Amino acid sequence: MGSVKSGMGAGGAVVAVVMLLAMAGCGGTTGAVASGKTTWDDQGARTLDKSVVFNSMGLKMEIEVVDMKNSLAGDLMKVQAALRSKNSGTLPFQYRFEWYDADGLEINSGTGSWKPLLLNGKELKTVQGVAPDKRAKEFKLLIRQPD
Amino acid sequence: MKIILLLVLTFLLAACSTVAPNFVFKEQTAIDQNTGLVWLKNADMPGHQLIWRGDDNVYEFVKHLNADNFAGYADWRVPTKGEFTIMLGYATSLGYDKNDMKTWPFKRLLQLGFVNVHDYDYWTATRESPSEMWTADLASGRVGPRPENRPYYLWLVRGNGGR
Repeated sequence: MGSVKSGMGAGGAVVAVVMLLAMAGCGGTTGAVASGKTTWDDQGARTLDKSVVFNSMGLKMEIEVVDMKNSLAGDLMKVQAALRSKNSGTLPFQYRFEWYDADGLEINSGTGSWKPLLLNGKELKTVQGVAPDKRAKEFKLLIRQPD
Repeated sequence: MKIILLLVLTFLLAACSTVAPNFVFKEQTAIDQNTGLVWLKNADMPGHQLIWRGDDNVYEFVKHLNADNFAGYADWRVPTKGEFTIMLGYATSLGYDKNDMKTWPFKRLLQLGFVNVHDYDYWTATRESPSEMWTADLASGRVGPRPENRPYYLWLVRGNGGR
């Protein structure tokens, strides 16, 4: 019996580890992802296909992505996003940019750090990011609330 | 009487629309005296072929040229298929033999005084489909749809040739 108990304990530990790993994996998508991909219209003018996905209802109630623009800083993709607090109080957020090439492969994977963003009641602030190299044709702006 | 007048007007309009260019060459441009359409004397300002969608494309090149006020103008644009058809029609009207390269449109245009004219396809501004643009082949004189995702040469015009 003792060995059975011991076996169940090991199994439980495995399950716990798997759950922890799964939670850690989900941690990356908790919050909001505002993304933009460079495309060219029929005239050949550069445009930005934009989308915003909230993975947290709580965050969706607190912040909105009002606008996203892109331009070139030399050869580098430059992005500016306008974020507005929906809350009347002061709230802390964090954000970071990820950059992808034309094939959707991440550039300098995992090197972007989370930066703090403090929004006062109903305040609108812009955040900017510049791609690490000229291969970048797509970005993701990840937004989350600090733990 | 009205019908006769209408016929005469139609005939005159048709005649005007097919009149051959009459170029006067300046330092950087060639002006068609018949229409006012201005072609760049240099038929390859970028110095290489350009793509339509992507970095360093046709749109960006034209934008920069206009921002630089090239040759004193800021309204340079890609010619329409009609404008290129007339240009190439004129070049072939000077004598064309497919077996004699000296008579091919690009050679005729070089003989007229244009520079850097290539025996290859040039962009027009006319779209055929979501994936095709009309191009002008300066070797054969053909103007027709070609895949948009390939690079072609760029020769710019300004003004309204009325075509």
